[in-house]
Amino acid sequence: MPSNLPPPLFAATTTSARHINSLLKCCGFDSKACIQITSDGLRVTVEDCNVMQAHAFIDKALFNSYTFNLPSPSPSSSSPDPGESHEEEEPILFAVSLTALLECLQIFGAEAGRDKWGSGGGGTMAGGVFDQQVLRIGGSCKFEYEAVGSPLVITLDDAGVITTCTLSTWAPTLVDDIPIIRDSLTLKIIMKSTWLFDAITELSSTSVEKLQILASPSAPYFSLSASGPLGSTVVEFANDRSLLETFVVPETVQYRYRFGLIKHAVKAMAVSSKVSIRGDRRGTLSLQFMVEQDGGAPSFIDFRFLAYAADSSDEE
Amino acid sequence: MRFKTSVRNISTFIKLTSCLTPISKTCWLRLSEDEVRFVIHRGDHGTQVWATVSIGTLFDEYRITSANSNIINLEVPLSLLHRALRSCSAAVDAVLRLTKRASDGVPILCLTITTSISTLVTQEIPVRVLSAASVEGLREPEIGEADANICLPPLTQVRAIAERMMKLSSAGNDGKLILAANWKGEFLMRLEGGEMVKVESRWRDLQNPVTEDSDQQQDLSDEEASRFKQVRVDGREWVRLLKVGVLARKCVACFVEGRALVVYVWLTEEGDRDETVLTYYMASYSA
Repeated sequence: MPSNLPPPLFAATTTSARHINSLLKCCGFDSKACIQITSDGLRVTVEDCNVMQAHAFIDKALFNSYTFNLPSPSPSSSSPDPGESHEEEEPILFAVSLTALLECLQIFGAEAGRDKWGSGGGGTMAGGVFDQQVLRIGGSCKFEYEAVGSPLVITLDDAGVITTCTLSTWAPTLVDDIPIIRDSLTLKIIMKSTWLFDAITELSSTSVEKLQILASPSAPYFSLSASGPLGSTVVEFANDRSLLETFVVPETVQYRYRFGLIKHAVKAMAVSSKVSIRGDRRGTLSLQFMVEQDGGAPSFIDFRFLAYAADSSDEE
Repeated sequence: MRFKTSVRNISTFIKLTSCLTPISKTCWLRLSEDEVRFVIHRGDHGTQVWATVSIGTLFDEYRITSANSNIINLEVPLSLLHRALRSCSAAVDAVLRLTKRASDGVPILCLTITTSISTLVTQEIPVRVLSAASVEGLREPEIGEADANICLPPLTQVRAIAERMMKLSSAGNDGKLILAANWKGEFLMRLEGGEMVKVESRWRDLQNPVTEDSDQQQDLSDEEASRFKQVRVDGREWVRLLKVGVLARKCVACFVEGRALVVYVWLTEEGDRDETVLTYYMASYSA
């Protein structure tokens, strides 16, 4: 390698490609993703119609080596995420085809489907229904982003077979994060993701359009309801420690969301262990999922939804 | 025109038909006094398959007579033949003969199977008798010396990756894959032309078989030996060809740069008395 080339902006290798793939799959509801690279890790954002967003954070710790070289500062400073802000650091930001990225990460996966889960299975990542094809990425996986405007190059090595995927990148249409106002939280609930998964699955049996979330300090505490042309369904959660690990609801609140958007988070509900449900005064909903990987720190995927405006009510 | 034989080696026969069924619905079966030939030939651009085996590889007590110097040409529906053969995989004895269906006089290959409990099962495969003139023009392609020969890695692995690549191929590249090999034991498969993604898989440490009395490799410069000789093939046809992977004992690909890919698939171990080799010909498309 000639040494006079500038170092790539970003280069990282990992043996946890399976875990990364599984995190990204949770956001696979759209074909495009926006990737933001900072010195802490990769933040992948997928959005739908400007009213919902999913952010998957792939921590630096999931990589065996991680090199991030600051791009030369440019005047057009994008708004950094409040959670991971760095005063003097401007993140690398680009968009890629998420569909292609997912296919690339599992390029060795189809064959592995025939092998049974070997040793070191994925714990919670087994994922059941959504993971028909188990990945066997025995070797390493390298990510490289040379310079602004370069393609994202992923190199996978599976027992000597080397696959190089060159993904075109483009400048993303910048969309600000949907903010959740932390000091005006109206509800904060933590529970097992499977409870939420079961509830949403139950509600999706009828063709419903809107999901109504009701939380109150007294019974029925927390309920999810959906109504469609064929009837309505309500799932109520009792305020029981074994059910709702954390339950902070100062007053009764009620918000409505588009059901189709909530369903984008179903994969995340299925593979994660816990979910933190937060809502602020304007009804912005955050579903933060904790995805555990055996032997490693958990990863987080954050879904944000805007509520229907209260006056657009079509109730009787 | 008479043809009657006992099927000696049912498992090889089944392997042969299962290598042909993914490629085409029908095949040309040429029966003569000293060999049996299976041919798939569909115009200029589809994959062609040629397989010639000795009588003894498949049959026993083989009787053939015809006005055309004891050669019979048939067009056989592959899936029916394959299904009929599979049903006799546990047979004690199987007899194949050419006859006419009693009801309407349609020519059929009739497979009579004797099972272990002495039951007779008869399978009828309607066929079309081809005139000598209609197959006269069909010749096995002559490729000449290849620019690179390589023993392919396990086909199931190649197929899994090829299938993923085809999923990624967009309208921009009309479903073509680049295949290439060099004299350094390397083989690659590449999807390009897609707007979003390019994918390339590379295998190393493969063998470069050299045909006897050939000096292909000797006088090559190191640079030339490392250079990839490539062809551009239809990805879907390539995936279909790779389905034979389950049965292949050995598989050698010969690259004729920019023109054709020839794949030899051995169904038997090397040196087997009943050596059975299928030859697949794929034309290269220009970019």
